[in-house]
Amino acid sequence: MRRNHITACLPKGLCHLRGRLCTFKRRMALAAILFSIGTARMAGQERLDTTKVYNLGEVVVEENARQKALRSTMPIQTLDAERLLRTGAVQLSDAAKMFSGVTVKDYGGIGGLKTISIRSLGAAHTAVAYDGIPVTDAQTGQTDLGKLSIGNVERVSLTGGQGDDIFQAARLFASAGVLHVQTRAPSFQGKDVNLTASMKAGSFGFANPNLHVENRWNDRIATSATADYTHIHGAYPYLLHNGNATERRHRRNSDVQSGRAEANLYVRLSEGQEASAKLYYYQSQRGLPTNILYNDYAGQRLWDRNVFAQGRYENRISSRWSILAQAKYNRAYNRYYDPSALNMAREENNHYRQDEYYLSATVLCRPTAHWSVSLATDAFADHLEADLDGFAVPTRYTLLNALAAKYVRPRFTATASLLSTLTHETVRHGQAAPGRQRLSPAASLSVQPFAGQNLRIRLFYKDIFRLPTFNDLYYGQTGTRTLRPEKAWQLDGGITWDIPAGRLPLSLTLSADAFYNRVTDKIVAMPGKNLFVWSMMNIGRVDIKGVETSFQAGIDIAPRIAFSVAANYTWQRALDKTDRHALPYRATFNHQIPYTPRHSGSAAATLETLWVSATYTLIASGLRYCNQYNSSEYLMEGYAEHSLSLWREFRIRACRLRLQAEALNVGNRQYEIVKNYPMPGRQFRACVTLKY
Amino acid sequence: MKTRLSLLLLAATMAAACDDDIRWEDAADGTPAETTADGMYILCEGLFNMNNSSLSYYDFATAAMASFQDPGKAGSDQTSYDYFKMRNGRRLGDTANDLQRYGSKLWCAVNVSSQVEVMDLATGRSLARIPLFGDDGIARQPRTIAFHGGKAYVCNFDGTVARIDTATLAVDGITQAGRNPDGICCAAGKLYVSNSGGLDPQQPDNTVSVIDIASFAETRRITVRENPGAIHADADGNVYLVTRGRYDEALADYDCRLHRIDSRTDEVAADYDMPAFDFCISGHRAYLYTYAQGGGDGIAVIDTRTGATLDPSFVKDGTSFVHIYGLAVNPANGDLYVCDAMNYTVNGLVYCFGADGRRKFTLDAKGINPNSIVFSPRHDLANDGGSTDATPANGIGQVFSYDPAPGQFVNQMPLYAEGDDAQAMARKCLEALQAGSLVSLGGFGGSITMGFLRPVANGEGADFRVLGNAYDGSAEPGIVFVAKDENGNGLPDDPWHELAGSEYASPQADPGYAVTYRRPASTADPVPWTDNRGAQGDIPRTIHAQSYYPLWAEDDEMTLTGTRLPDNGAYDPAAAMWVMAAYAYGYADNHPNTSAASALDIDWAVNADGTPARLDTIHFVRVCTAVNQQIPGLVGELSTEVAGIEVVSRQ
Repeated sequence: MRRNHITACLPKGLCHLRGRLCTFKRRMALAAILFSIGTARMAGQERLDTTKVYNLGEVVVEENARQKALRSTMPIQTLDAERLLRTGAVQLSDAAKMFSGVTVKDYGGIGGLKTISIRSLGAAHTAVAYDGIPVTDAQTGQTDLGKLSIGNVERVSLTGGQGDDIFQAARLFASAGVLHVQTRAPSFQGKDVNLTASMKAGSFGFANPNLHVENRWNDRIATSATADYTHIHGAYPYLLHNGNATERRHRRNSDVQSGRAEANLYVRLSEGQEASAKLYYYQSQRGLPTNILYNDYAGQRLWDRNVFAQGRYENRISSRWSILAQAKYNRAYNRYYDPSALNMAREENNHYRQDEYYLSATVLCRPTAHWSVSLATDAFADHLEADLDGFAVPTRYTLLNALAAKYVRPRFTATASLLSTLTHETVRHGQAAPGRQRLSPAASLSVQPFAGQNLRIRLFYKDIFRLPTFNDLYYGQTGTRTLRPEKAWQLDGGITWDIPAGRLPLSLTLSADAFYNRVTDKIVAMPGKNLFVWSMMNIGRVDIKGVETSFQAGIDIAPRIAFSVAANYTWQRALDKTDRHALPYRATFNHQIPYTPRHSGSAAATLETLWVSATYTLIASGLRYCNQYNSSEYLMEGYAEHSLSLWREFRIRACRLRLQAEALNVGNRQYEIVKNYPMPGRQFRACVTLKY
Repeated sequence: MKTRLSLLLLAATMAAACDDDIRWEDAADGTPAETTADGMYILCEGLFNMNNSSLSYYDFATAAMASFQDPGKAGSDQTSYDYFKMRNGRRLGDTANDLQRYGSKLWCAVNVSSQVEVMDLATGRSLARIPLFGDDGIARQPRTIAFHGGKAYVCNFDGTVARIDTATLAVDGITQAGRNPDGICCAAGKLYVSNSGGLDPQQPDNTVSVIDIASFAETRRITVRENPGAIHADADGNVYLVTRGRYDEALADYDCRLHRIDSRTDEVAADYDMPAFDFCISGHRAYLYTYAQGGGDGIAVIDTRTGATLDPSFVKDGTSFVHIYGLAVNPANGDLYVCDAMNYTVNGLVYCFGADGRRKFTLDAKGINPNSIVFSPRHDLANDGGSTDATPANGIGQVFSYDPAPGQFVNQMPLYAEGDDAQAMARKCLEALQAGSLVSLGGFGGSITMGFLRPVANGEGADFRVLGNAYDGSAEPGIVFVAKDENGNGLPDDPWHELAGSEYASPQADPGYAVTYRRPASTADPVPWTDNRGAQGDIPRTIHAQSYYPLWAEDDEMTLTGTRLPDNGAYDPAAAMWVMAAYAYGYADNHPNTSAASALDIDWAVNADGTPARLDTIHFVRVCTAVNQQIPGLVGELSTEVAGIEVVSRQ
């Protein structure tokens, strides 16, 4: 039987900590604008939808990100590399937890599965894009954020809807939200080589060396290469509460060894014409911990191997026409091994292999200064092999076409898009799921009502769906070939008010969004006619309403002393509305979906001085249920995790040395995000980074 | 009734409208009115890897699920219905698959935690948690339990059967069966284990292992259809099992079938065209959870002796089920309890049906996936778990003879079947007593003669007790005799010694009293009696319909002799009811099983002349109804009931 993890989620996040710190940083020379091989872009060009990131200097990016968040018709939250570093983030999931409106389901430790759900829509509705191209898993439909390290990441941003950038791949129009991971682009200042080496080490056998090299070969070609390795034994202590007894246990079989290597090539073919290519390799081995009362055996293991190559070509042919072409080949392999299985072989040893071939082309036309129109076409094929008896071995062909238009005035932005999806599936054994076709509209606008105030009101509507995953369709007897797509629509209204520093050295940004989402034809595992067969069905409806608020402030207290704070809070009601009358659904009617706290929030405060700087981070969640049936038996305690980091940078000739110490979960708070998967208690880490 | 139900459903819906305090209110459409058991345990399996197996206890007297305030719970509502946790301060574990009663104990197989939990039936207190792991530390995953002769046999998903001594609660043997056993039962001195092979869905097993109890080794494999599952036997040795075959893509389901194995030949004796998925057996009736392709779960009833369908559709009031997950019959009154697991993620429901197939009441199981129900005849809800040094243990080894006087439960407890002789009835008594069920001795003079599982040494203070169903105001005392196997032949042909209870020397006690009962012309008539003191009367008819005169008795009259104790029943005008007062000490079915006053001391044994017998050890025990009193109304004749023997253990 399939081991279903109950759907759902957790905390939230911080966002675009922005800043007042731009000038400060400049003074500190933390982030100089360096030579970039592409065309440098001015903030004023923001409205041109030809966003490219790797050729931008850090400060400009920061400024742009802030500008962009303010003007965007759909909410955007951004964390840059510096902030990620300060909060002690190691995995993408650590960053995701800082965003508002998201719930990250975390099975604990470095190795535990981590998935993100935006505004309670479910993990399969969120796309993760790595340098502009989605990272996909056609088998489960969800990406394990724990497997993406952020060692060479420049920026992580989360857009509700598709964002209002219309010069992008069609696939980025095809999910309810996108988590963008942007890797660091090479930038050079008076030298042809940049080098960053870092070493992190800490509690529970954690070690994480990272090396990043950037080379400029001539004024047209640059390369970068990154390698990192992560090791942790992960045997952290936790308290197992069992009625009156409390047992001190150590998490077993929680070790992870993973390595990643990445190479990038950046070519500037001519003015306005650029190409880049990436080769990525990831490999890991991990244990899968369990937490069963009276049975502490844990021997299951998981191996992953992932290699992909992706390329991107962009040409601004004229001020009116731009084109973007992208391609990717992805192969993901994983192996699950359970030596405690009681089948004939006395072990379970399953191998899965996924291949994806992906092509994308986007054309952007700007007929007038205010109008831009784009057409994006993506074609891709996904294939899954598994050595399960009688496995269908499916292949899915997908064709996406997105037609989008954008109208921009200084105080007004509007977008509209229509996505068409066509799929066709074939299988090697048995019957294939039927092809699907759907049209998905979206529209958004942003208005600045008062000329003198940086205050923007935004509104967006998006209709989207997710296709059933290969597991939904073909997994043993559970899969149901006839599943329809799971539909979702989102409605959002928000406001952002940005008060830049004026006579006072204080800047402030306030943001609030109210949203209303509905998921219908939700794909859930339901028991069939008898006890053995669970099958996937389109049965659920979930209504989600919520409010996200965030606030950031920065102040220059004195020369070279700055303080910034950012906080957010989310309130969400995600209620099961499947059926109020019939058994058994009425038992859970109006119950909050699992792992969705009503109240959640995060905060970070940073004090920067010349001597030592410090960041305090808080992630908090209220009560939530671990079962769709909201009986008090399934209520889980809220929690707050506090972390602290201290760092200082030194300049040694041409090098910069950064020393950082972190204490995570300072209060040694024992908590669980997912029932029976305890999170680690207090951890200490030290990090040394050397940059040349 | 219908209006009331829909109002309750509406109330439940409204209650569900706010998730702060959601309670799936009992859709109770009748008031539980159980009179023959104090309450019932409902085992809720919970969900895989959630550590949320739980045990609910429903008390019939208060019509309420036992609950307590659990400070370990999050949120403001700390009411918990996990009776196991209430009694033991810890949780049951992960995925509890089976719950059964044996004598005075409750046995539970907890599959993923890989433990067998043994509890005191009367209190729910854990007596032992028995881990079941292989030498490599891998969980054996216990699944189902069967009992025989003081041993529990647990089939494990790793292909083994573990034998656990029900007195010492220690594993004393492991033997091999087939792949992934799903069920185990006992018939004709053998164990039958259904080997599902379910973890290799493309190559399921298709055998039933036959394990000889004496040698505790597999002696045979019976080939059956693929993927055998539930397996149960009736008292006559008819073994029934369900096979599920392989998953049928066309049906998008399994195609289940029912079969019967003859335990004399160990061959498949019959295949039935019955899409049964699961079933339970009570007496000679098997209640089958059937399903029709295209929907419509139902319950069919068959006669286990003939395989004939007695009722293809037991449920008569239109009740429909979502997913039947367990079936149980209250042995005392024949009510059928049906566990409905719903969609496996919400609290399950328990429906009670009378013999007429109509729903009596419905309960929220207070846990997820209820799969087993065990009735607790005499429950001690007030016992908050103070430890006692006496470990209850079922000490019955043999029943040599069962000679009841006529009575309203005779031919029913245990159930007489056409063709049964005295020997067959004695065997049924043993099985009933080992399972903790009641055996009725009928009116004055009725008796049962039993052998202890092991000799009982005469220790300091109390040595054993005869379990019954007495409670305050409801004593039906029986005199207890004991004997030592002095000639060593294993038979109770040695001198008997009466245990001199509190009334032994009473001037009102009448030794040498004899009653003669005569078989009535019609089974529907009262049974007339005369005594040797010139009195006469009859055993009156009450609500029970069967013959009150033992049907296997060859003679049309019987004379039973013994000591008559003074009548203990008296009408209490204040309470407007009959009260059957207990004697001070020294009798069977006199004080509650959990009461110190029900304990017996071998030191009380006397010779025929009244002198102390000074026995160092005893092997046999006989219980004899000592009162000749008939009470008007439902109570009828006072008749001693025996539910087993509990030997006081000494460390």
